[in-house]
Amino acid sequence: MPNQQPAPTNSAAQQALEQLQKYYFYLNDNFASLIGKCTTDDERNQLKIDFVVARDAYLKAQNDVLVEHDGILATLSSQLSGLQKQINDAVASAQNIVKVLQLVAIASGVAAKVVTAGIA
Amino acid sequence: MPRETRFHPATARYLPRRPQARLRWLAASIAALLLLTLGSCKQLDDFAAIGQAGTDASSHLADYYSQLEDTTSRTAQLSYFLDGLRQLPSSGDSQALYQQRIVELEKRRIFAVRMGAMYTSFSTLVTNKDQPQIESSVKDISSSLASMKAIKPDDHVNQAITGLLTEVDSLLRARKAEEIAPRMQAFNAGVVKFLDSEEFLYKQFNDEYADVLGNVGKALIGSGYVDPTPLLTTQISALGLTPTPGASLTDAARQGYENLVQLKGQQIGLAMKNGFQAIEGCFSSLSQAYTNLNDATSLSAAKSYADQAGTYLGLAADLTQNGASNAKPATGAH
Repeated sequence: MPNQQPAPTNSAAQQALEQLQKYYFYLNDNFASLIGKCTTDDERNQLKIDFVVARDAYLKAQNDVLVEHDGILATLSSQLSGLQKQINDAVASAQNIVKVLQLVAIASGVAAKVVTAGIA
Repeated sequence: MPRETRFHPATARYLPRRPQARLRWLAASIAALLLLTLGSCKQLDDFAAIGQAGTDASSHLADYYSQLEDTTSRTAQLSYFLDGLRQLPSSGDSQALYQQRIVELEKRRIFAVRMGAMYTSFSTLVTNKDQPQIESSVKDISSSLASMKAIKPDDHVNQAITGLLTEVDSLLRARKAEEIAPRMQAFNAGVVKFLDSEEFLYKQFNDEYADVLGNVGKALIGSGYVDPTPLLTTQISALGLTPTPGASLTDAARQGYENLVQLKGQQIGLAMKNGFQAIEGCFSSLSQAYTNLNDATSLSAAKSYADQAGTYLGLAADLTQNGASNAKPATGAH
């Protein structure tokens, strides 16, 4: 079967996410000092809005990557279903061997009785 | 050439095959088949090891996603709380985004659970649990053949035939496993690449939790919303130091508490990272094990990684649920 391998995540996307995280963490870690440096309410409000926007952009970018990978996950899930069926069939087939041997044992037992009776 | 004849060089004619020669030929053929059977037994053991390591790694991966969902949920709650402390505008969008992440992680957890079921089925295939029934049937067949005087109970042919019948199940299972293995290997390689492509995201999720946790601790103390002394007492005791009851909180103690909160987040992040790397290591080793079943190193590495994954994820869960005081130090997986 074809080997459908997922492509590794675009390193540009990874770098972009790292930058978004860096900016969000910077605002988060320095929030108190940054707000302390604001001199007006407008500045403070703008900082709060910037913080929320930065966080949402970061979270959305992460989710976009996850959603993009759903296609790969669907391909892997499809392969998994095929494998599961093949294995289930093989297990059933292996279990049949036991039944066949039991039937052979019964048949050979009957045959032995017939032969023994004939000889006697 | 008919099987019942043999070529006689001196007379250049085909003569009837001697019964002893026929028996030797039969015995040699059966002996060769038995050798193949012994090979298949070794192969079955290796396949069983693959099945077990795959089952364990899948189970740990499902646990990992479950913990990542839990981490995301905690991050969302802490963020919501922190937003309140900072008097930020409504964080409805970020909460919805966190929920979407949880939904995506749940899809991956379900996939890991299904993968575990597949590996368990594979283990069932390569584990012969019906051997007592088979041996009983073969014994009956052998005694029937003996009573019909078809073969003597103790001759080599009887032993070879019954031996082969006894192992026919193992042969069939090994054969089926061999047929399935390349497909599993291709699938496994896909899983490794998929995990690799998302590893940096998972690391970000854990870093985010550590960062928010640290900032909540900092904001609580900095804003004077809580008296940190009881927390300090617990944490300092856990570090083996003797706290001074009633002593005022110094700046150094405040800083120490902040550090401890941050350390806890970092420890959880490190344990999760090491756990994930161990899971990846297990699946990578399995990829090598499919290629060469005789390579015991890959199989033992897969088992070792699966065990490590369990240890690290247990550590992360312990740190998250019970705090740093009960946790063992986390070290690198490699």
